[in-house]
Amino acid sequence: MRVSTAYSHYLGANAITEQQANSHKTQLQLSSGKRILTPSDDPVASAISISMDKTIAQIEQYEKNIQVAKSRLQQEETVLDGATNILQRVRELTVRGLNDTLSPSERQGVAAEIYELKDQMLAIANTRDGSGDFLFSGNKSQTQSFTETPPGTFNWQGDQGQRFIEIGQGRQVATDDSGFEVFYKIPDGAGGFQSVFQTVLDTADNLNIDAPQQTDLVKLDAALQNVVTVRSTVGSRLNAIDSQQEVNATQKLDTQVSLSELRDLDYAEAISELNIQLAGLQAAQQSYIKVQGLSLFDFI
Amino acid sequence: MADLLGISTSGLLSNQRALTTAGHNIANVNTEGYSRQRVIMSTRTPSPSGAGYYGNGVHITSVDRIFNQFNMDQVNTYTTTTSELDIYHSLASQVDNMLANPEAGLSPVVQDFFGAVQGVADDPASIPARQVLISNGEALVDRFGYLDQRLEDLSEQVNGEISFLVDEVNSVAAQIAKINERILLASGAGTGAAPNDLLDQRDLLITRLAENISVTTTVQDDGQLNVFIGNGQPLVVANSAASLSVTRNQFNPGQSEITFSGSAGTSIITDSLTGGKLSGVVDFNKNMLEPARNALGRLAIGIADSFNQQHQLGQDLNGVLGGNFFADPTSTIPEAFASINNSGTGVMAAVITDIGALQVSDYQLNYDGANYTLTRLSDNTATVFAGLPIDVTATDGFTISLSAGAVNAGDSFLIRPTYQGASGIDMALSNPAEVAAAAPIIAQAGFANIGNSTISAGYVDSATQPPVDVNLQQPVTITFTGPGTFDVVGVGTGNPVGVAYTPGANISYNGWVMQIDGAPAAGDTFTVGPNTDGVGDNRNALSLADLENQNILIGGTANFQATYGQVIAEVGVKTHQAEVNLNAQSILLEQSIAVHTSVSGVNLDEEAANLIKYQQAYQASGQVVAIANQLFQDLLFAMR
Repeated sequence: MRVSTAYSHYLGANAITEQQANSHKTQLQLSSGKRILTPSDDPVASAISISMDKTIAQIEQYEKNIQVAKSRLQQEETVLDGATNILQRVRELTVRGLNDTLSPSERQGVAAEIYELKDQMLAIANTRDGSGDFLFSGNKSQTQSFTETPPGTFNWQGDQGQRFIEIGQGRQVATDDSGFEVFYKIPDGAGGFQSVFQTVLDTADNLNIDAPQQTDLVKLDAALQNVVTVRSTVGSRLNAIDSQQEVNATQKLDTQVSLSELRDLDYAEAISELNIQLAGLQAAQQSYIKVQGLSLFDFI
Repeated sequence: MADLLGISTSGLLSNQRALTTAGHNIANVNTEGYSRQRVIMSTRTPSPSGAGYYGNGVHITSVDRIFNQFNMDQVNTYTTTTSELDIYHSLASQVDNMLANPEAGLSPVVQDFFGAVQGVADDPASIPARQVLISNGEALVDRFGYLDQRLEDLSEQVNGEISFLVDEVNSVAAQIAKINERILLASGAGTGAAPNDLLDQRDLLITRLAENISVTTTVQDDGQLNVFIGNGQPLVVANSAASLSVTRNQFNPGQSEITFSGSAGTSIITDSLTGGKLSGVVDFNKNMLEPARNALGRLAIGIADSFNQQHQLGQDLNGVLGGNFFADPTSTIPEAFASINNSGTGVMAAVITDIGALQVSDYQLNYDGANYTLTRLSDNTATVFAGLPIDVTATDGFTISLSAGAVNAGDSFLIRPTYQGASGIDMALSNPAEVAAAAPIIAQAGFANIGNSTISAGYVDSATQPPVDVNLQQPVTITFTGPGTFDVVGVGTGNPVGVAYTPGANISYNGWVMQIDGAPAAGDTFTVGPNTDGVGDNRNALSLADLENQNILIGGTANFQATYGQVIAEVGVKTHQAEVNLNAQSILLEQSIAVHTSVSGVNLDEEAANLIKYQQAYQASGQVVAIANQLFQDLLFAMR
């Protein structure tokens, strides 16, 4: 087939520009580290990688949520430890006070200490967290949990709400307990219920008038048992959060690996591709010069 | 009698002409559209004599243009398809690149927005956390606006391109008409011979025209060329050219239509263009740009409306029921255009009623005097309705009603439910305290309950609300009369007695739902009431955060990120398709050019060989002249 001069130039130049364009694209891939530069390079992979990005971002959010949850529960744990210590001390004193060998004035001394402990108990039940929210008021986090108004009458001002926080896909954990459950509704041993503050106050009052009651000890034990039980649920919730943290980390890593396989460049492959293209470019350029250099006019 | 001088002179002159032509070919080796020329020599009429016929030398009978019309037609055909795909691909790549950018695309802002919702769920009473949410909402709105603006820029570019190409077509058509006239004159002025160089120029103009629009040509007997476009509209007839122009679409003033003005009147030919850049640009606009804007709009509407719906089921820091977080898109976004050809005064209004059923499409509404026909333009499905209002909630997610004026027979309207979604999305809320993170009700157990039971905190049923039940926050007391039955007392409940109790089953009145589990004893009470002072409650914030995971859009099959992924994939697939087609057509074009130039193109080496050939012939003829002269000299000498 006859080839016109203009067309033969065009073929040569075109081959060069094509190789240049190809090697340019490979260059872009290498410098960005991405196999997919635009969605048209791989539309399906682009769509899938959006979903994977979302999964990773959500897991990172869960990680943040977990920090918040742990911090709240750890604070609650500390407070409940303190409450346990106070109640154990009250129990100790009550046992001592029940001892028949004590004189009325000695009993009054014991009562005095128990009155102090009652105030401590009230204060600890009204603990606020770093943001100023009351830990035990349920949803009414800016309303004081318990008041003693008038003195000797204990009022519960919170509600029974619990704040759940999302720590994983479809997994929520309660990050607090309502003071209603922890301090307020304690079985009184006679089929009814009485707050722990009332129990402690009654114990102190009875010792003060030299008429200690065995039933006070029973109620104190019930209160202590209640706090300990809640404390252990807090502990198991913290454990659950820890294992969810590991689950999240594993899922995140797996997704990142998949995403990388989908989206990131295989450097070895790309570099050898670039070498081939550069060799092709060089060949195109040299052959162009050689072919165009041959002309009959050189010999006329 | 044959005369040696005359014969040798004819040889000289003919070969000189041939050399000139070879020189002309060499000079024009790089001229675009040039077809090489070749002189055709033939013998002069021989003279008879007693001994037979004596030749009389050579003369040039014609200068031929080496040209094959079929090859040229092939080149034009592939030029048309390649130019169409080239401009389509180039425009499509712009959309492709824009959506792909991971920082400038939509995904990160959607991610950050829902992250901020989680931030409020982690600390609901915190004003800073709520402020962060509002800021992220504004960022989301801004990003949608930015993407839409870029697409709007492309839309303007499309209109500009159409206008420019129409001008080009008109200019080339006028030039073809002029050159037809010159060819006619030149053919007449010569001895009916074809004016080769003018023909080359005309063919070049045809190829230029073919880049912009698909053409068919016919040659008249007098050599003038007629050009037809589209459905057979005559663009050039002999020496007169018709013209194209651009007008506005009958519905949408921002959309261009291409019209053809000829002797038969003016007609719109936008949809009957079959190739070339004009067709590529129109195709890009209709099949990629507008659907992309509709798809983005649908996503924006989906996020705004679903977020608003859940937000209204919550309670803010001041104890007030949640309002709109985003500006309500359902009535402000949909557009309805009346055709400029309408004789009636009717103004239509559309309202979005189900975001899950929204399609990526515009709609045309026609009234024939008796019935309304609604056509979904993406797949041309038409449905007939007897009258207004029209409710296509189930299939397409919106309703249409007449908002003003009256409709006459023959009137038509264009309805665009989602097109302005991305540009129209906006924040409605700016006060952090108004973020409705809490639930408006709370369920609690009585202090004196002695049974071993639990109660869930309760939630607002989103299936039937908003608007919320008027009695949602009315205090309701549930009293157990036995282990398996309870009575209900509260405004709006109807105060039923003896309701059967199933542990863990949903109990629902006044729009709330909660569960009691375990074994309540007779006399145990449970209350559901307003969530007063519940500033630490995050239940609605958790529900808002969960919207990200729910399959709300596309008939309930895709969440927000997946929907965006689909938009990207569609654009990517179409762009990739255009690239593949472009490569294929480019190869065909190259091959057709190869065939055409192998026949018509100048080869310098060939011309160099021809130069030598004609030069040798010239020299030989010159030698003959010298011999003829010598003979004459000899004769004169003999006469002395």
